[in-house]
Amino acid sequence: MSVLSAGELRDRIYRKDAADPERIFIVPSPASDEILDASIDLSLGNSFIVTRSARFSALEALEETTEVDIASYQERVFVPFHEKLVIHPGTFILGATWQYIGLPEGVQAQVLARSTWGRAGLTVATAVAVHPGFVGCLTLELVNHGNAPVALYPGARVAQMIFMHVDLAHPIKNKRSSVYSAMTEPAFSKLHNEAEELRRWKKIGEHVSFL
Amino acid sequence: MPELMGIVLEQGAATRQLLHEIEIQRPTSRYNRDLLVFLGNLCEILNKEIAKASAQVVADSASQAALRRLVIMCSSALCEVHRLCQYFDHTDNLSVCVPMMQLLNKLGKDIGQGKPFILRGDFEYTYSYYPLGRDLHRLAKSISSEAVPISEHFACFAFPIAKKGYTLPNCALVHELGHLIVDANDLIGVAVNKKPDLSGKIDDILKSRAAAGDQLDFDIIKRTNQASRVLENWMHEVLADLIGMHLLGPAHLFAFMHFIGHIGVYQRDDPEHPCSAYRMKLMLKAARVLGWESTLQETPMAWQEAQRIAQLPRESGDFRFDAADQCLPIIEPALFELAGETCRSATYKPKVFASGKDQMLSLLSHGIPPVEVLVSRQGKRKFRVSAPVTILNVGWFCYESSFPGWDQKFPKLTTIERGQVLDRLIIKAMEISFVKSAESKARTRRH
Repeated sequence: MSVLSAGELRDRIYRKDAADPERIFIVPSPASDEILDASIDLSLGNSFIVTRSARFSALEALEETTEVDIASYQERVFVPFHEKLVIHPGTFILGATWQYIGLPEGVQAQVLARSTWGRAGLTVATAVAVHPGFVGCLTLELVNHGNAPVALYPGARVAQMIFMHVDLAHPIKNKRSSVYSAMTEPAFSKLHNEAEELRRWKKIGEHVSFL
Repeated sequence: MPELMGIVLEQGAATRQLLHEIEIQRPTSRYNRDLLVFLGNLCEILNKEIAKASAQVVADSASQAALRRLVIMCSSALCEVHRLCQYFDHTDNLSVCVPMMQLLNKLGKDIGQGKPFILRGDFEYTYSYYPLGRDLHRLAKSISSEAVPISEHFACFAFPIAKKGYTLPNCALVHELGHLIVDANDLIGVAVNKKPDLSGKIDDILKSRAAAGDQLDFDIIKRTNQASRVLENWMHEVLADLIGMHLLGPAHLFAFMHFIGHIGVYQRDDPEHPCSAYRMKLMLKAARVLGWESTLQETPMAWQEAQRIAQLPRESGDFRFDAADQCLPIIEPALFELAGETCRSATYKPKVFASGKDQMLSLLSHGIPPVEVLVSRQGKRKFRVSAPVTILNVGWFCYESSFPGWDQKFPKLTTIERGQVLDRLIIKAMEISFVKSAESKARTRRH
């Protein structure tokens, strides 16, 4: 699994045909001379989700939690480009990238914090993998691990993305279907989708008491 | 009298408190803030007037009557301020479609008519135009001769709150912008001047209808007035439709079709609007004049439906509507001419749409916002950013062509889910288009 170079990124982004199976979409696209390293910088979008922590005890996937329940624990906040959102130490906020990403089947990507912001205490992603074929704005899990509040501005380049080849010599038939596809804003967690699997483990646990 | 003053003072304090609460909620649009400041100032003036009146000692009955009139006037003005506070409901950035607000602003500025307005999500399933500034001016002038710091053409456009996250159906808002442009330029007056024989025509029509019977003269006069009012309203509607067609092209026609499809009544007139069938006929005519006919035929189902609606006969019966219906064709050429003159600098052209349409539809079929089109100039490949109006038209073409190519990218999505994804992509594309355009303007200014 090798990382795509700046030259290859430039070539794949600047292809005309949308149906080209190798084309990578970054919208808005970086100018050709802005792709310098083997990564693309990503900026913050305008939409955020903050938690209303006073309203619930725990996010519980196993209970009868619905999508509406989870959404009611959280609040969507819109921040215009000239305004800021302050993230306090230990706080968790969901944001989204301003750029809309589209990956071909032969490319996987990873989202990482840029060190400038990392040194200020900010991490941008805990779920860093972006699967082949993904389309959408990436949801960023923003946490301030530092000791001082950090002001976040929409448009700030907080993250970077590196791209890797995927070996298509043995294609799989059943593809993973992302529940967060074609999103343009941070998406609320679909934790309730995990309930079935957790119930299965619970049942196993009841029969195998020593585990 | 002191009791009445007490009640009005209390009313003033309550309204001031309400405005304060609205201020704390921070309405984010600039125009919302303008409206809030204006109402706040007005409320202050009213409160001062009442306080001044309550401090006066009046002996004679004439002064007492004058004082009573002042207090009652202040009270009704405060009631009006209180009523206007409802316009802050659902007008914040999360409740309205922000790119659509930006588009309306841009279109207004493009034709040199950058008038202030607020967008309001309404619980009624309808789009409407309310000339808020006109009423505010009337109210302010009756209270104080001080300068009124708000535009007379300040408008409120309402849209169905259920459609707040959707951009394509909200293209119908450009029609409401058309109303604002018509009012701001007194286009109805200009149109009537172009056809000076119009008012006489209504008289003639009604007189000929009444000639057979033995109706009284005042009855005819009353009917003439009513018919003139209906005709004026209908001219307003037709002009707003034509302006919409100029500024937005087929997207305006599709949005209109989508909206009247919800209502399902095509042949009935009302005092404010001629029947939808007639409006559709005029919009199709405008589409032909503007060169959109062959483009529209690329979506055969929508094209046929538009033709079908346009050919439906209107329901006749009401004397006012029948008279207005007979007069409208007389003024129609003047309305077409006026709409063309007003929108000359911003009329959307089929050539612009055709230049990027195929690439943009292809992007949509891959789940990508249709905003950047790759062009080659002097051997160099460069992305060209599409205009928001083109993006909206591409979105409508994708929708009306039943999502071409989407089966492969989104095989599991239902039609409704596809519609939601399409709207998200269109909103994102418009946002990017606006930001890129602002970026390039800022760069030009720096140079």
